[in-house]
Amino acid sequence: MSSFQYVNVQNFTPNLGQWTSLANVTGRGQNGNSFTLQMSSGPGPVITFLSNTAFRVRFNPAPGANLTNDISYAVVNRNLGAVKLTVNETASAIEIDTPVIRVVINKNPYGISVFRGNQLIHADTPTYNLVYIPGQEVIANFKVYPANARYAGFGEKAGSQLLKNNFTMTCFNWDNYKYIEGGVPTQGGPLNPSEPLYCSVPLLIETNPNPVNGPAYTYGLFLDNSAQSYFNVGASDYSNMFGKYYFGALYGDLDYYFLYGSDAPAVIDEYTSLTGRPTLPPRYVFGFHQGCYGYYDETILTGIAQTYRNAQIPIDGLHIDVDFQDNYRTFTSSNKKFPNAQQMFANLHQQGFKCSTNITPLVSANPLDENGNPTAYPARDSGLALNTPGQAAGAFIYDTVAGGGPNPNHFIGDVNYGTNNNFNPFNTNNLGSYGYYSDYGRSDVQTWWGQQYAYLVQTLGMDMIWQDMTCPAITNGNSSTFPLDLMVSFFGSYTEVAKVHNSYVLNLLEATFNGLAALRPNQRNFIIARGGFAGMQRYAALWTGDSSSDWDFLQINIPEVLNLGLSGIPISGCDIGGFAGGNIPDGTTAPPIYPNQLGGKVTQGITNYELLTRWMILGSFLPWYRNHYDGYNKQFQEPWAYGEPVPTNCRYFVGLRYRMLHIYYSAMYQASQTGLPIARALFLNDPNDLGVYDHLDDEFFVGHDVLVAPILAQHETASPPTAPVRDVYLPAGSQWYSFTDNTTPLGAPVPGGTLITNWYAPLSNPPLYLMPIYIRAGAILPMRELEQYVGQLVPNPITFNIYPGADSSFDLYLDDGISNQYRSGTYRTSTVSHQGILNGQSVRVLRTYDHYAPPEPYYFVSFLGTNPPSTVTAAGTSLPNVFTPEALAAASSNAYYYNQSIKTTFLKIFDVAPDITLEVTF
Amino acid sequence: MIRRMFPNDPPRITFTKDFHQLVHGTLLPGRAVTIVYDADRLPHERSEYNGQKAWSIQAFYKFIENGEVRVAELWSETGTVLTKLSNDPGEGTMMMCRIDVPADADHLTIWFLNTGRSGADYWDSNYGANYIFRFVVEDLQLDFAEVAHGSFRIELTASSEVSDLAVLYRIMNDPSAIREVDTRQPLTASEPDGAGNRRWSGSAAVPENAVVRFTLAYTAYGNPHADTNSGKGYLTWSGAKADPQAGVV
Repeated sequence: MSSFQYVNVQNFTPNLGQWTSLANVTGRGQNGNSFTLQMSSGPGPVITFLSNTAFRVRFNPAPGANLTNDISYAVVNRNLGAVKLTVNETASAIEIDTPVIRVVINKNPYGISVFRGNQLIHADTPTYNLVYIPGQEVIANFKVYPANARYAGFGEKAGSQLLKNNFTMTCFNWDNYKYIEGGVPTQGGPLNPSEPLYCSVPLLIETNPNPVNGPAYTYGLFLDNSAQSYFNVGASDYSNMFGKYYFGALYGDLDYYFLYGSDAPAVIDEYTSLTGRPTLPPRYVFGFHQGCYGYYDETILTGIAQTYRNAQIPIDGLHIDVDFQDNYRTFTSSNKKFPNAQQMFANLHQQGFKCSTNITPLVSANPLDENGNPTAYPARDSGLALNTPGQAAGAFIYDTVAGGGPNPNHFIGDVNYGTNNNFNPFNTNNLGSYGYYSDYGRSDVQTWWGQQYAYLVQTLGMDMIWQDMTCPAITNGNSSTFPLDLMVSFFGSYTEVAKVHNSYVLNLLEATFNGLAALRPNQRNFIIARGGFAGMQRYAALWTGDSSSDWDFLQINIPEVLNLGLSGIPISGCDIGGFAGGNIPDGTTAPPIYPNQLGGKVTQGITNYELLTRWMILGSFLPWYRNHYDGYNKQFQEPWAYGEPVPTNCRYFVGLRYRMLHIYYSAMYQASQTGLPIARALFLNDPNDLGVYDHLDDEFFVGHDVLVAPILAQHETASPPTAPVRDVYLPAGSQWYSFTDNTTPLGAPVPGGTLITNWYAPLSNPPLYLMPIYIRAGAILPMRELEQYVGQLVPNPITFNIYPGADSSFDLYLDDGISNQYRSGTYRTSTVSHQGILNGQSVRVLRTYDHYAPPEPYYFVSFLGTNPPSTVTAAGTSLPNVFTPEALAAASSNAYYYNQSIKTTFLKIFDVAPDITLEVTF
Repeated sequence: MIRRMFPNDPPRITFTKDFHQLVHGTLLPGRAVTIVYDADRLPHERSEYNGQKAWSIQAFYKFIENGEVRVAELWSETGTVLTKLSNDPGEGTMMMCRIDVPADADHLTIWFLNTGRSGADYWDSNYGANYIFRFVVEDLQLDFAEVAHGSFRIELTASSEVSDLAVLYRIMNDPSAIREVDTRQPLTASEPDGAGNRRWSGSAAVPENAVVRFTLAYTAYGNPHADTNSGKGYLTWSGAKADPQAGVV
């Protein structure tokens, strides 16, 4: 058996005290902003400052380790700002001051502490801190876990808690079906953060809102290591971890970045400066999507599309699984199942749909096509024929293992796509294939891989790419991935998969991203991926893998997505409704019934309607909003296929999503500039309210001002049924309005700091009241008219809803939503602000960057919760009252009307002035 | 000699809940084999005690006909067995154990027992015959297979213990291939050579352009065995260029 194995969290045991700790510092060198420590035992860590708030610590215990080569798949920028250092050295310590922090390196023994002024905000444990086992490659570092510290981030992690205090976790990309297949030492499943999942981001964020020694602080700690890594945040699972945490990895450097921030957004800004930020996706990405493993031919797919339109449930995306391919040949289409694919996509585009198909890293070695004939397969044939001077022949990984010498044969992976169960008439019962895997560590292979998308993108007009099985998911390796001793390219040489495992997907995504950009340079492309590594936000969004139709998965959806956002990945979401079947004994999913004859219809396997409804509601507020299910084992999961009130309830929330789309889109622009996520943990917006830290798991913000608190538990269909109620905490420092969607007048504002108990939300409520939604007093919410897909209505004017309350502003981003012209400056940013004036409100709409003209010639401004206005002016000119909404819609110049029934004043303003001030008095 | 697929993969035998036994990799004396067992084959005993699992499934195995019977308890990589997996065909509720096959092993015989607090014994033993896995690569050597001139022809060398050798084939580029059942074609044996090995051969008429996928079935000591090439079968057609990694002979 190979010595390279997956190691579960309790078998990585630096806290047994048997590892070797770094000894005393005996000397140091300095080269610019970099300090090289000499230890009594040999070369010590290298500490390099990247800015006045960020530094890097790098150490490798191996004799002769090279700590000067800056190779990393994750990090793209180490110049994070100005660096000004003052160094003082005493007999006991080296003190390095920046204008912001002071880093103290204790000499006897080694240990790093970070101060802000005189306040200690970060420290190695005093003695046993940076540890390793001589002769091996394992490393770990212990840090102090101070009182009141909270820990978040960590990329994609299971568990129903956002904070991962007192949990132990591992980063090892694992295609973890239903989150129960990863090797965990105790009860596995979606509630256990120890499960290894598909996307690894070894980033810890410590935020401490009430430290015992001074004001609040936050820092990030990013371990740049793509081998299997670990975080134990005070979890005494195999040892006493009270008051400390550790991180470490099985192989490679201890290479971590300390990122100080006054608050969490500042840390995210630094982290995404280090690892890169996303480009803007097409705007339709923030619409609703439907996917299914089992839309196996054109008739089914187009039928689903038409039924959505008939049901008037808005939708943009359709996602077609490997059913699309010719005998599981990646990059191909099936002429049997989709004989007119090009025309089919053209027709779907006419209906407003955008499509993706599943692209796995597998390049099938099966010589037969879907007709059973040995035919050419361009991806396989060109991959085998790739001939790059100085590189191994071909594009694919060879079956060479560590210590085994070169192997002339390729590694062949075996992929299981499940069982047909007599459902799909085009396939035999066993679904899957076998084949080659590309060596993405080579730039020539990345370029070749990108070219393989030409047929899909240029010939067929495929809009998005669904990047699946990314870890990669194979059945003949170990731990559901490659054999860990397999040799792969690594910056010009070869190394064992075990040492770079988590970066395989990052290189795959980079190859796809760059390939699509080359093939379709003028249009934004979009990749939705099932796995990733730190930095993946540069290339792709993430869905959180194979969920199942269980309430546990609904419960973890919020913390999982929020932690991904904290980890630099702004677009993520879960398979709404659950991809796989659920916990049948709990009655969540009915047992499927399979047909006797090939080509029959699976019946039953139906996700519980209450779960589906609650998940569709929650999902409507998450960045990636896709219902996705396994049609080989489920009869249906599209909301219109259920009986009422499911379609009505879902239709409302999908529609609300479309009307709110510009909140998401503007937040996405912000993410592209600062890394700040779209869906935000409460402490990102309201860090100073200690109350929010007790309510992080089941409520969150969309952007800055929309607070949502979905129902996450089973009630009506539980046995026995329970009342569908939940508590809602409203952050202190603001007042809050219950969202009325302009259907009724605003109620009284609720003071911040209030815990509303037993908010009652039965499915029989009007859809608006199926969950608590609260808007921050003073917020400005841009909303558009309902459309069935993004771009259906042109023009579709924005209404800026101004909530009563404190002065505030909203940064609006506008562009065409689909082309790359924004990269050359064709976009507009505006700051919409309001402030109180005597007896009224003043609103200013200021274009702060003005190189795009939206198709809408006007916009609306609505003042909620107002009496009839006494004066209304725009740029000092009085506006006429046209008295009805119809007259306002028809008005050809600036005007207003007052809606008595909802106590709201609406202004129509023609968008001709780069800077305009509106004043309304009441 | 024609090579099989996945020659370096650690051998694995999967016992599926629809009572198939799938061999992946090369089962050989001296190599450890992983047994992957769908607990839904023995779903009867699932007792708990004080909230803890109080049932087990054990594998009994031996390597020679009257040899020592050894026992291994099946376990789950997840640390527990979750019944919620049980209705996903193709996934199953998988448990496993690893068995070190000794260098002097003749074959692997294995069967399973499910017990718990009820005190009852539930067996999965192929109705008492047990599951017997021979070392196929020591039994069979595929020498030649081709489609030419409207004929599918195959030749093998088999050990003296092999009898009733047959090829099971289907024509993949026949539009009805999905629904077609493999055709069984018995092979004919020559006289044994000095070592007792025999040459087996046979042929069948097929269309000129036929793409043939085949597996092998035989009997040894009265028990049926198969060579499925790790479940992928062997492929051949007129003019096929051998590619063992793709299953093409």
